[in-house]
Amino acid sequence: MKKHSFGSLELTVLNAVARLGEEAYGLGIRRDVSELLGHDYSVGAIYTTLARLEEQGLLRSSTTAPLPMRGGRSRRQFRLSPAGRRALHEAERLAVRMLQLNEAGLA
Amino acid sequence: MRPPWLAERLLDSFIENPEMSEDMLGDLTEEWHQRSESQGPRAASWWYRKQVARSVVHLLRSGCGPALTPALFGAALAAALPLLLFTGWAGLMTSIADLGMGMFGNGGGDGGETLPLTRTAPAVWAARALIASFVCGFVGGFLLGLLSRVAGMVRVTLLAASWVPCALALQIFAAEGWPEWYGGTLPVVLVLSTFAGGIGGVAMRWSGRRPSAHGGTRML
Repeated sequence: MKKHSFGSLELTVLNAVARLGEEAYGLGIRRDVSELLGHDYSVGAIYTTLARLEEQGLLRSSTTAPLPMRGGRSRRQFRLSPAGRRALHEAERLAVRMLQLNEAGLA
Repeated sequence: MRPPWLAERLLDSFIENPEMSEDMLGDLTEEWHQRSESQGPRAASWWYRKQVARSVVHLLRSGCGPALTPALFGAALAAALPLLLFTGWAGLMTSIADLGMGMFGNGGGDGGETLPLTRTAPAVWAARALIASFVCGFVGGFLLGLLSRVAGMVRVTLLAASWVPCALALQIFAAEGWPEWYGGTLPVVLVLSTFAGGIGGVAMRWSGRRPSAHGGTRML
């Protein structure tokens, strides 16, 4: 199984896609990630990250019908691929393990 | 009411992937409408321009990696182009000078008047070379901006950047005695003229796909 190493932005984007469901498109993801990390990310930063994750096979996307509030453009919705879900679980497992080690060290 | 048209087109010219361009512009438009209702169109437009400026910096930074090979190819072309132009231009000037001398004579014989030919100062040659370089940079930038289907300004920026080492390398061939200011001025002229031409080319491309009167902004 291929191991992925993530930066905090990539991991947070993956996590946002997993949680947001139908709202997992650029605008929703940007708001969620900006709120969680406390930094107002530009739309360019989010989309280049999404493109990179999709290229790595961790995300899949589909487009909706054109919407008037988007100037007649469609919306691209993202969802986790099986590889993305595994990568996210792996990252969560690692974070839990680190927390446990820290707690054991402090005790 | 609609988002700032110029900022929209500017961002579009920096995105390599047309699908990503649609997605990003769609998101920005959607948020612009939401902000326009809550904060007013002026604040929404200000936010939009700020997003575009920040995204352009990010796109340029992330786009330079995959575009390195085309950039190197562009640099090689950019180095060859001024050399070819200089050669052609110098050849043309020599032919004109030869023609002039042939027509008016070069002194002596049959009472022909001697033409007061004086050697042109190196500063004049340098100035002519700068003008030729400006034209060369402008035409190159304009064509690149006009012909690039996507991310025209990324390509124009790469071409402008590739001029700098080329212009510095060209000075190896500069004749002895050329003025000192030429060395510093040549890269500046090439970069600025490339940008000027590129903006002109991209603007001309934009003018060919202006949004419809219905407010629809989807590009085909």
